[in-house]
Amino acid sequence: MIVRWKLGIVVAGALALAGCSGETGPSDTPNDDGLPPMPEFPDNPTTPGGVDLGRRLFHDPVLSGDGTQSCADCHRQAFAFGDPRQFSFGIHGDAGTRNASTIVNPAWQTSQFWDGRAATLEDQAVSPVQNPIEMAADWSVVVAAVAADPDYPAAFAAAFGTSEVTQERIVRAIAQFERGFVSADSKFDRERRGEVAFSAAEIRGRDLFFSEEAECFHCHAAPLFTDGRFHDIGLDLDPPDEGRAAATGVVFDRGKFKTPSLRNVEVSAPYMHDGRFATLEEVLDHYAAGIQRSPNLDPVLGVQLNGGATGLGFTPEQRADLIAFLKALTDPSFLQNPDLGPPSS
Amino acid sequence: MNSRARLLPLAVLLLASGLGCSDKTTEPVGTGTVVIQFSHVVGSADLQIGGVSYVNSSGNEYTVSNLEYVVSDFEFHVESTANGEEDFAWEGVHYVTEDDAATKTLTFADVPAADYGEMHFVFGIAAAKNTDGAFPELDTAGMAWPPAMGGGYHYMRHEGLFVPTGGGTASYTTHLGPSGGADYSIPVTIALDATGPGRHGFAVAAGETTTVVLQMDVNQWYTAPNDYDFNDYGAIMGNAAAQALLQENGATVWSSVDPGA
Ligand code: HEC
Ligand code: HEC
Ligand SMILES: [Cu+2]
Repeated sequence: MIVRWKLGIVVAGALALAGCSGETGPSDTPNDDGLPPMPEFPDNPTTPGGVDLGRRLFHDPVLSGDGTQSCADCHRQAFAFGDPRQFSFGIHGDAGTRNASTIVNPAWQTSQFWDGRAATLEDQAVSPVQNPIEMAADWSVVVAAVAADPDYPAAFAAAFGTSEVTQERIVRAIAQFERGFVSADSKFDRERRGEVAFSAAEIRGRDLFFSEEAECFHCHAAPLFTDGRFHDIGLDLDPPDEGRAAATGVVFDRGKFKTPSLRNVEVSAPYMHDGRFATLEEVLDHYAAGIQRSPNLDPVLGVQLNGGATGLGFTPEQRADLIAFLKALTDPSFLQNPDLGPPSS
Repeated sequence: MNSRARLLPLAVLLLASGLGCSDKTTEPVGTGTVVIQFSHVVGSADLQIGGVSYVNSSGNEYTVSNLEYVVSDFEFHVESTANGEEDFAWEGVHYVTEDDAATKTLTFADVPAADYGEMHFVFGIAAAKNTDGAFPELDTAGMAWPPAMGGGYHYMRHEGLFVPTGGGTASYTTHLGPSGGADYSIPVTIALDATGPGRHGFAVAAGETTTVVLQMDVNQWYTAPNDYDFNDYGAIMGNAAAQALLQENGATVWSSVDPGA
């Protein structure tokens, strides 16, 4: 019995109104850049040396089994760090079954991969190196190759204090670099800051996006344009990819995938976890009239089908407006940020 | 409303003391920790996500796939002020989601040692502070309520499937919030000891931890005092009548149970 009725001796005159336990408070106002304050990573604090090192590693094929493929080969900056190919090919020419995720504002993400099977960017970066259909390498070989490089040990010293090369340091440096993938300067952001005005179509598209009629905002929640959660949006009646269930083993997670951020979605085709849609028009065809009542269909979409509809039934004008709004989420300064590209030397 | 009226003197107190969170010049003579545990049940059984069917007073068979909500502005009222005891108040906002155990506890580390006779909190967020962007954590959790529909944040997202009249499968989305800009947040007063004869209190002793379990009976949302038939409601964020009906039901979904029981 934990509650002790009438046990305590009252301490008289104790200060009332004490006791703030660090919960959410109204003082946590968003940053000027329009995103929530960036979470802190006490286990791997970002340093300039770490970011420089991570940038080199991210763009360096030394991380792959035969020295031919870098992270950046599948995660290309101009495509919001996604891959314009439906399925990426690994070093042996094998294709996976999922479209390479974009990497946009990953510091705010609470899980990585379409099924969320990695909790952190550090955990995530361990996987592609050793994945047989991606970089197909052995970590010990990769560590040795990096250590044998004439320049890397000094960069490790700058990042971590000593020149020792370890797997842990490699993934930490990559994670530090990726946390700098911040996109918050789209037309949407500039409009919110009062710097530009939306067109009539963009305004209509925004109002529809943030309405119960279209439901988009419930999952693609501003300002990150993802809720970081997992949903089945009714792509297949019987989903061939287990999705989230592969990570949790829970049958109710079958067919659920992590909501992708819609920031820079204009350039991140093809769409969905399996890249099945080539254009935003096809995506809207799905939401308008192609939603399947799969067993785990998200109720937010399911409720719109209650009367027998097959989707949200957008008119051609509504589709055009939504697409105009989605394109306002494109952030050229992110897609062209020279600090995120390959190091110059 | 009664508890609203009680908030007024408190607000004045808060202003006078420069708000509860500022650096304290005098340390409390003795404080304890209160851990609020949020528990979700249907009748006497723990809530199950998916699979298990429940039945409301309208005879709808339904399952639950998602339950997330916001509680705010906790107050513990002392039983007596004879020895100078004062009420405890916390003005924050706390997000709970069934699928993340970490959100299901709320810890107050510095609760003055006293016997507390009553607990109040707000289910949702009172209108005055339910404004766009005020709580970034709620934005990232997908709890924002669109500005065109009133702005601020959802109080609750409760979702799942039900068997509609005529059979088959349909979905419900009980989304509560400041529909049309009105305040449907729910002031809740809790009888802390549901069993003890005439006792409603709990004691906080210096240096010790007291756990209070707050239990939501999910089925009550759809059962009392008003019947809520899922067939009659679809997406209800813009439905003032549905919001008002559920606001009334929401006052009775909560109880407190003895964690040792
Ligand atoms: C062969 C192509 C390929 C290579 C090389 C590759 N990735 Fe990926 N990456 C993918 C695919 C495909 C996914 C999605 C897989 C899934 O969800 O199951 C992905 C997912 C990710 C994600 C998750 C993003 C999110 O929002 O969930 C991150 C981060 C990432 N990769 C970083 C890296 C890093 C760092 C490297 C280099 C160490 C790398 N990738 C190498 C194809 C690749
Ligand atoms: C129930 C949550 C939910 C709702 C509502 C929703 N989405 Fe999505 N959206 C998702 C998820 C989850 C995915 C990924 C699904 C997958 O790959 O299986 C996705 C994928 C997308 C993609 C593809 C992005 C990419 O990078 O592959 C676009 C574009 C998109 N949604 C736009 C919209 C629009 C526009 C609306 C409103 C009409 C909307 N969504 C409503 C959850 C949702
Ligand atoms: Cu809602």
